[in-house]
Amino acid sequence: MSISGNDLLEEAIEALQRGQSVEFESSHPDRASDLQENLAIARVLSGLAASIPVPSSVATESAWLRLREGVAASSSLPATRPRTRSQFASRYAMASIAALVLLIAGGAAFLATSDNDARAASIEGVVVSAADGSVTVQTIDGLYQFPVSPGASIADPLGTAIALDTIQGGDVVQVSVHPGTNDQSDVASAIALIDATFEKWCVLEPGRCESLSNGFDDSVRSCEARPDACGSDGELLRTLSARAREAAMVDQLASRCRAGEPLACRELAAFCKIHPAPCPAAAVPQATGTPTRTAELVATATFDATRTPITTVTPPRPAGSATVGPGVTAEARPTATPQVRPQPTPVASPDRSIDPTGVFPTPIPTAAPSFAPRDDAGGGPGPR
Amino acid sequence: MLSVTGQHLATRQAPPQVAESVDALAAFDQAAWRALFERYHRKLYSFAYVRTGDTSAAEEIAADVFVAAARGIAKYQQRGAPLASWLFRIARNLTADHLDQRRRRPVVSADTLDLPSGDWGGAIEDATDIASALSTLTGAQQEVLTLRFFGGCSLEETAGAMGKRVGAVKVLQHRALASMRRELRRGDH
Repeated sequence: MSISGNDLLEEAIEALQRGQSVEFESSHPDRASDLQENLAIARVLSGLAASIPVPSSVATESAWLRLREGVAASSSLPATRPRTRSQFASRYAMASIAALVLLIAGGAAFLATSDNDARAASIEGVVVSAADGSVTVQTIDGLYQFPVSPGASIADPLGTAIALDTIQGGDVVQVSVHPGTNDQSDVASAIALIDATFEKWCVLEPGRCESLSNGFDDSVRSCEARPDACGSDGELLRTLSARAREAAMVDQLASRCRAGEPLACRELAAFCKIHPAPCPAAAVPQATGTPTRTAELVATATFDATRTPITTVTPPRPAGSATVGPGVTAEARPTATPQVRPQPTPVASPDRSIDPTGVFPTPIPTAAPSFAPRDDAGGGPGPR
Repeated sequence: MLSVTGQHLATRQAPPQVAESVDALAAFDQAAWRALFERYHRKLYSFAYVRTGDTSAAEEIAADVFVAAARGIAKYQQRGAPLASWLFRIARNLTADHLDQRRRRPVVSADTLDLPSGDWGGAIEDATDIASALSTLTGAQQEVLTLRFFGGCSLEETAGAMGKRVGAVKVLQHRALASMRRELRRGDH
């Protein structure tokens, strides 16, 4: 039975796609010429496919995020439901957080930790958990956990005292830390909740979004290496890590857009149109604007955050009294007391190693092995 | 039969484990969706790009396919058609909608395509010749070639995506290539 030309061509195309060469002269001399020409065109088409421009990384990432959201919306996964503060607090129990932090901690520390040095220092970072007498913060350097001293000052941006477990994952906080002794953990002595999402916070300094994103990625990797230690906390870390990655991407595109790259402006606009969350609100309505318009808007409106100082305050208190509660020795506090300050400049200092409050001008060591808790002295990873 | 020679340079990927994939996808397993995305996003983009000649539209269509798939996976009935067929079918519909909105014929943009080096015969000098010949084909002929060579679909997947029998797709493919051959010869004179 003779094979049809259609089947013959299909077999040849399949052979071609397997990387084999094909000849028809000996087996089908009467049809060889036409078949070879058809096959040549098929070969050209296959070759052309390799030269099709690839979708941009932003478009690919954006497509994946849209899919992920679509999957989450279509499923009944708990992660898709808005999490209430009480749920948040209950999920991040002390035990699992401690396990996670013991695993991840041990990287760069930020305190001068001489036993004789009772000065407190402060850091800023993104809250991973805050409950059960402990706060865990992702800074651009690493993931840190502090027990919160009983009665420690915890305030929202208006200076109103708040409970620890009302702080949510993703909030930005400034933590005043009182160094512990060799046998004790460093203690969070005051926590100021900054009135900003971390996406806004991280664009205040060049490269901070990227550093934060890298920090989250490191934490997630550590977590994935020891999933038993992370439990459900790993899920929040991954979520925050993804948010940080988006923020870093938006920050990077915005920088390039401001530098006059029309393509970056277009990618930024397209991304923000689909994912307004990591984009400054002012930029979103202009997502369909021309590149020039978008660039202008990005330059003028997107990063108003850089011109709007974040106001960090601590609760009003009687003059001379300590900021923190009875858990912290009063003598350690006077110089460490963050004052009420509508700040004339952004909270964060350009140099991350310098205490942004200005209270502690001493450069903060970046690799002092003083991170608390230290009860796994031999088990944690070394400084990064 | 034909005579096949030469080095076996590349092995086509085995067909996906459709049954397992669909189960995992229907359970909204994120890893399964990620695997599906990584496997088909670029192919769907290429298909949409060749059909629209527009990178932005292609990016949007490729993304929309997956969102639509996530929304419709619960209703997906496995009838033996490969999963890829379903995705490309969605892509076909979205591409058609896009072209309808712009009242445009499918176009192939040759601006960004490069013809690989090699001897393609006198009728083919650059990618423009191919793009031009492609654009003279009927919509169905363009689709079959786009699915096969730019979307990376097998014959069965192409048939499923187009809602046709495998035999009909073979005929369509043969006629499409023959038409291109004639068009290229005509252009050469």
